[in-house]
Amino acid sequence: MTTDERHRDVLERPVIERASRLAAQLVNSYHILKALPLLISPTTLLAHHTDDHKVLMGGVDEAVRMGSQSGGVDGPLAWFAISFVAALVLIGILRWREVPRYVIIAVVLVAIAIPSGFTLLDVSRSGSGAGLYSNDWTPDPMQQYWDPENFYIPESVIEGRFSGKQCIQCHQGLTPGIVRDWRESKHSAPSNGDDIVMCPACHGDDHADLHLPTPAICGGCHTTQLAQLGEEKRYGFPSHALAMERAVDAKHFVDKPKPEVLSCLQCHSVATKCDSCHTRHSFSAAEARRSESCITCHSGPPHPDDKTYFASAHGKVYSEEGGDWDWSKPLKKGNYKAPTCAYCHMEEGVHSVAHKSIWKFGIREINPNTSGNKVLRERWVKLCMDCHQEEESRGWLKEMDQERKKAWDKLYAAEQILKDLRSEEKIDPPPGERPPYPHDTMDKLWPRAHIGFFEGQASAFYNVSEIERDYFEMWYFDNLHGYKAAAHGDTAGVEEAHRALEQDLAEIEKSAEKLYSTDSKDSVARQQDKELWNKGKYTDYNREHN
Amino acid sequence: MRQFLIPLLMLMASYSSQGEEFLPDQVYSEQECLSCHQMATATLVNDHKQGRHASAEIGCSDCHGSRHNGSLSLSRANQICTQCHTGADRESYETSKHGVILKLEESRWDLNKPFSTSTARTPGCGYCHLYGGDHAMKSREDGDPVLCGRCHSSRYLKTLATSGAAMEQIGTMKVIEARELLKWKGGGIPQSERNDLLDSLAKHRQNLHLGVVHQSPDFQWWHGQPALDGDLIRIRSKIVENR
Repeated sequence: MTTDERHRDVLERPVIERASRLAAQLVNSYHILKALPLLISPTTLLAHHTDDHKVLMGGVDEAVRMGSQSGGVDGPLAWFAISFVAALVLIGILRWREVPRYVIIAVVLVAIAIPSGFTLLDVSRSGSGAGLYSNDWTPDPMQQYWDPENFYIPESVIEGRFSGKQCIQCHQGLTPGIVRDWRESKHSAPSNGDDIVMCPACHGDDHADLHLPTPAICGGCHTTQLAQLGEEKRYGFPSHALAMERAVDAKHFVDKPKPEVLSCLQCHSVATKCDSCHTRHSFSAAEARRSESCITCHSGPPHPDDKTYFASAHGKVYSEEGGDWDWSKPLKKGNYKAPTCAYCHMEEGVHSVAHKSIWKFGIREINPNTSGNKVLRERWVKLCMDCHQEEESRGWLKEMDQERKKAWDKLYAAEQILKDLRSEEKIDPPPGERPPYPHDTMDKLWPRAHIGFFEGQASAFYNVSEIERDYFEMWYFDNLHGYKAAAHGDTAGVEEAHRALEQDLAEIEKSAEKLYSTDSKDSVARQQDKELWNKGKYTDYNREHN
Repeated sequence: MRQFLIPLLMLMASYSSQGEEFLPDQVYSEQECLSCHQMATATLVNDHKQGRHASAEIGCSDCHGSRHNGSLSLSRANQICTQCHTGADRESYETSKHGVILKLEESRWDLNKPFSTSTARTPGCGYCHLYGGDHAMKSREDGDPVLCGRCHSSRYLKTLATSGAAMEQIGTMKVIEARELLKWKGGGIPQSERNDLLDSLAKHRQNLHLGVVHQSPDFQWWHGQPALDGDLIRIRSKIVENR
């Protein structure tokens, strides 16, 4: 098979692959799932035990989460009661004897399937960790500080109940830094005549049972912001609100030793604490309006938001003059000469960064022509029109779509090469002769390389062969650099990223040719390779520790 | 005459607590700095001589400027350090929350105060690496209660340090795995390629270290752990290729 033949365009893909893609998108649709709770229980089962059905995986994840979020009803018993009563009512209406037997069987099955799906969900969440795989891992002690609601354990060194003034009396000697920060904050001197917000308001007054503030605690007063954060969940992931639950449900998070993946939680704690942006103990809105406040997380190879923003015209004006602007003003039209991260992504302070997410962070291809996507686009155009002409704004969105199309053409070309290698069994080492794909029951029974978003590409950066890792880097680093550069108006960055993507593709083609021309190994060499890929200080440790 | 006069004035200055404005506002040479400070601040000078800056031929004026007025506050500004410490050293700090807050607020801080009584909201380079005027820049324990305890609880610091050490330990395991692979099975790999693999490994391990000590998630993770995973994959591939 020649390289050209392997580079079939997206549209020329086999019908079955297009159909599966469509099915995945259908299942992924929030509205459909909300209307069909029935789908939840079978897909819950799928989510746990047949992870390899990744064509459905994007949808399964949504389904399970939507199930747990579809508010008001708590626990499997409630669900069982509802289903059972509904079934009785239905049968009652239709009258018992006139109901065909297959309808009764269907109703009974549904009445069993729904609560058992939710029971399974509850059991899966009841382990020592958190999320869908909570039974498979134990948190590192540090996790209590990143996800206080689930893991914080109060320290009972000092007992007693204290007033705010008493807290400050001791702590201005013990931890003077935070007391000073608080004194300079709006909490210590509210401008609108509200009561002073002292330590016990957020930490409680019982020293042996203190808590670390969670969004729910901050949201006790900041109700609008908390509601907006909750609302963000409906836009799915990537988003701030779902950041923590998606992190702990990632296959590599579950699989790797916990002190290693602790790094993930610092950024993903944006869902579980407010001080990622409003640092303690000054909790300043002005600080969060500045672009720098985002770069602790929004930097580095898969999301070079810092690099691309600061290289853009907006970023240059901000860097040059931003230090002199009045940051106490809200993020509204006319208040700032150039936009910061929050000006565009959280306009007028709306605490939902995903409410205009038209390209899903660049990690998956979307259809820009759906009605849902058009709604999001109109939000961008309206925002850009704070300073720019409407046509100009639409033009930039079109440019970004073109950049994405080019990027995805390259990514699909590489993906096809890898999928062809997989069908020809030319991936070396083959799945099954290297450590199993992270935490995947099916993978042990049916070892298979995971290629592309719906198969779990985001966890395919270790326990894989070199060509798969190369594709991971192409997909996650150079592709996302191109996306971020296009989105932030860093034209040089777009060119740089696309040069890199072309180079990546050429390298992958070269490696594939090499793999095709390599003769199959004899059993001695295979055994040798198996040992090479499966043994080592870290590899052995990782096998035992999660 | 000047050789004696300046030390004398300096001694008087230290007793009369008139501070750094006591001397005429003019440019001083490295020799002139040392001739006074060997007496006036002997510990500082000796510490400096034992430290890594002296062996890299970094003198007083590189950090303090060549004038006496404002020489202390100048040296406490973060950009004095970052003009030389570029790359991963600087980026890992600047992307940490400490670094971000410093970038936004440093211009409002009083840099005339020594680090031990500073009212700065977050630590800059000097706060941790030269606390108490430690010119030898002895390495400190991660999460030192004296330095960090002004804002953080002792339990938080202890947990953070323990977890940080465990995180680094995992990086070390990856490096050991890689080195053993190269040692026992990588004989066929050409020397230049071996060196490239080892360089990449060392760089990523250092990134992880900087990520841990500077609290930069990005350096702990993207520039650290998964990058080391990539190194392991490439080393194994090279071994197979060159067998």
